[in-house]
Amino acid sequence: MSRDKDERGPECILCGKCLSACPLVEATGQEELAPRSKVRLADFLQEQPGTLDEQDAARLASLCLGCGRCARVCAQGLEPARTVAGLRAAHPGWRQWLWKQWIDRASTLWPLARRSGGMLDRAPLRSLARRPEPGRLGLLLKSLQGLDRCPMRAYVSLREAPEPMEVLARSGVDAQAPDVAGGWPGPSIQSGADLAQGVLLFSGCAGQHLRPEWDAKARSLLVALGWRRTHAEFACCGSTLGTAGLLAEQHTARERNLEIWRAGGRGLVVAYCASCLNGLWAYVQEPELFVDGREAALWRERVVPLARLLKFGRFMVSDDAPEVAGYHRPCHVCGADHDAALLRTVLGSRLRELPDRCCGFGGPLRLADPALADAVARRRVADLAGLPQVLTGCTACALQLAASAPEQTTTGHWLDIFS
Amino acid sequence: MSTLFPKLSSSQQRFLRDLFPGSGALLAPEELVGFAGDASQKQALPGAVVRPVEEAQLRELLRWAHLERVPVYARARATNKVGQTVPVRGGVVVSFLRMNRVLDIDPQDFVAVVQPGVVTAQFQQELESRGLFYPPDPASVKISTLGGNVATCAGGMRALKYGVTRDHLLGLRAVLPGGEVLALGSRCHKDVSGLDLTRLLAGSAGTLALFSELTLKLLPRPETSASALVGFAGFPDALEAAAAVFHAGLLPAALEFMDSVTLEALAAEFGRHDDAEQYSWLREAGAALLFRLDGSRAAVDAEMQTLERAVSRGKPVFLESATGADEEPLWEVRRAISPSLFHLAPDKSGEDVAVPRGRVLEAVQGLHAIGRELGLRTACFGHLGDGNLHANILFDRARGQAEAARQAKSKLFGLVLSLGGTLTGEHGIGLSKKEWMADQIGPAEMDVMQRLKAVFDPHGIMNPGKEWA
Ligand SMILES: Cc1cc2nc3c(=O)[nH]c(=O)nc-3n(C[C@H](O)[C@H](O)[C@H](O)COP(=O)(O)OP(=O)(O)OC[C@H]3O[C@@H](n4cnc5c(N)ncnc54)[C@H](O)[C@@H]3O)c2cc1C
Ligand code: SF4
Ligand code: SF4
Repeated sequence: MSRDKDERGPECILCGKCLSACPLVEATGQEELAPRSKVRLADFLQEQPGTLDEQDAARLASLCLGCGRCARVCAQGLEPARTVAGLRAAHPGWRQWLWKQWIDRASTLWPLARRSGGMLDRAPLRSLARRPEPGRLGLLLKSLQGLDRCPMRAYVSLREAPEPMEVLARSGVDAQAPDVAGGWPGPSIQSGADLAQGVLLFSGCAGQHLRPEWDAKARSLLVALGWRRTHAEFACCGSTLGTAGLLAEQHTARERNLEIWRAGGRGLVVAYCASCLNGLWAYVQEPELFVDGREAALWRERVVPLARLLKFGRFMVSDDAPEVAGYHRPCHVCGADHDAALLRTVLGSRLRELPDRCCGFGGPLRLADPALADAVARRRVADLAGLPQVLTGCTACALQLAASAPEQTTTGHWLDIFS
Repeated sequence: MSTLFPKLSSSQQRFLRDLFPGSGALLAPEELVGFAGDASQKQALPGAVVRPVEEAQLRELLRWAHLERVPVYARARATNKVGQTVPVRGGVVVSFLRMNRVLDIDPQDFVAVVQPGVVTAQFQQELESRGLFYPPDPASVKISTLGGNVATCAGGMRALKYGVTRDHLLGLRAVLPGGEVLALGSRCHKDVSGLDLTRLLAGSAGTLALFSELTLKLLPRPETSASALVGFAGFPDALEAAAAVFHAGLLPAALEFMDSVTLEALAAEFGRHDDAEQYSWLREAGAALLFRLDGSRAAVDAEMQTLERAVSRGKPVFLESATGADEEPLWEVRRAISPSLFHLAPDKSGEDVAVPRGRVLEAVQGLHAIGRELGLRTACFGHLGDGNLHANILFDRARGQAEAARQAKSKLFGLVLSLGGTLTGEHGIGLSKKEWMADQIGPAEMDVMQRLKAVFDPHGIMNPGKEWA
């Protein structure tokens, strides 16, 4: 290799750190699924073109949950899940294959109807299952999971909350408008008290279509906090599209969401799903989406977890609350886990934080190899034994846990326990 | 192009598929690519990968491979840094990831029995809640396995007080080419019956047998620990302080050192952090020592006082001590060394040589002299307590310094051997140091090793192309 290191970018040094982080390796003992193997395989395809059957190689490399755990331990700063997305995107047959899986599997896997609640309007989902449309991929995958479980009973109420300005100050969200010489396109930038008067709620596909009650609760909690919501019809956050290798569609979704944000004066975007938040924050990795670096930084700052604002409230837990509630930390929590912090405040000693493990949702892996995703899910399920209830802060995890949890364990998004 | 993949005959492939059903055998080229390399970054493709779950499969496999003369390469997490798992002659890679059960932990016998694929840190965690302790702690403890540690006789920071992996291995079950099983050692902490084949197999790097079960010695978990990070004006002062500590009758659990170039790299790293002020001493000191003491609370408190008095002999420019969870930031500095060195040069070659403890100063000064002669920077850190140095040669491949780095490496090995040292204290010979091995091991010794190898493995199927095999 004659190119120098800077030009090549960081390289895998085969140190093996990522093997211990990968839920697929843990669940299966199959090293060919390890992040290191994926990165090697991608390199091999470049170094030795024509040696491997590209279809088979791309299929193997794409057996990935997209959990991002490997990237967090890699000292070289590699992101194997992005390598996988790149392989998927580059592979000419992938898109057709994906839609074929959509048609073939969606109608057989969905609805699972293990325990019918009889409350779900399935008609829109049936049409979704028959009609491949990139923007609906995340929705489709989630709809395969756990919709047949009865919703949880609420037992927490918000008694009191500080004024929005105080919440902003205490939560450390920067309420200042940036100093933009020359100005940015769009309406003037919200700052200070205005931020609380025009919040955009990012519902995500699950909140919009599968569990509208989550969205309803998020809206009423915002009202109770004294914040005013501006109606916004965001597109998919783009994370599922990205991991599926549908990079053009991901780009379009991101552009649309940023336009909505700009039109609202670049105020706060509040979301209640860890994966959506991660997907939204990841926009800054695509600098060309933004006017300049400061706009990207402002976006990063103004996309805020609902729990980060809510945790300064005072809550009441009713007498019939379960004695113990487990907490499942989503893989996609990025930085501080505000959902866990909120639940610690609300539930105190009732909260039991589960060992850090993936739920096995797995995004596109659900279509590519559901049995593999289930092998990961089974390990999480083993941790749930004896727990009456398990909560989480990601809509995909919530649906996955609902699909795989034992009968005695009720599962849900933490929004479910708020009345 | 497909000849890149060494091919097994179709009947051999059938045999493997039958013995390792389902996902237990891999034959497709794309599946084999991930098994070509290890942390040495060397690579060669195997003909097949198999994943045993029990000893009976290993017996059948080695009976067959012995008859068919098929090379067999044991592989755990492939974190070894010298190419010990690289299948340079094709054949079959045996992945131990699915033999990962802890079979027995016995607090009465102070013994554990495990399968070889258990990750070492996970095992240690399981012991902790029971008040038990398995000391070997290679820096790769979270990412490597007990089987890999035994096969490489891995060392670690705690080796000074507690010894290396070999010292904690009481026995093992090992499958030989031909399929026979050796049940070696026992659950006794002392056992001198017969030749010590257990210790022979520790460090045999997959060249003699495949391990199916390990019996490990456990200790009671020390009540507490304390650490001290001490900076000195220069390396001789640091050595004087270390000598004073031993002279005072203390045996630290760990004693790490860092030379001036290492501190410069760390200063560049921590200078970028928010709490950079806290690390300003890194720019003032010309050498540093990091101690850890462990034992009962009363003993550790008393020993820490003795240690602080003793190190004053080296006129420290900086001293910070901490206990329990507060020790972590001090060890963070140690862990940051390896990546920090990249602030000084884009490439490095790190050698884990060891010298007799009294020759460390000569080794460190000699390394720097080699660097000056060849126009390269060199950095030295490591386990001072047992003379095991991480000698790093820093270079820039893009500026054509690769050849100079290679020369420096050869000269370093010459220097170390002239001081009565060894090419490797921990990582092994593997492929990376094979060409220098004869500089250290004489013809008579090599001959005995080769004859011994033939007793275990007459057809040379076990990890061929490595070490002396
Ligand atoms: C970041 C990092 C830090 C490190 N720090 C240290 C350190 O401080 N000290 C140290 O000593 N090493 C260190 N190493 C090297 C490495 O981690 C050790 O050599 C470790 O013991 C290898 O374990 P493994 O499970 O990865 O085994 P592998 O690398 O997979 O295998 C190592 C050897 O063991 C053989 N083997 C594996 N399983 C079996 C079995 N069941 N039967 C027979 N043979 C078997 C293999 O054939 C091979 O020869 C480090 C490596 C890295 C990447
Ligand atoms: S952690 Fe990073 S560098 Fe190490 S093996 Fe994994 S991908 Fe490669
Ligand atoms: S993203 Fe998750 S599943 Fe995919 S390789 Fe990394 S750790 Fe494994």
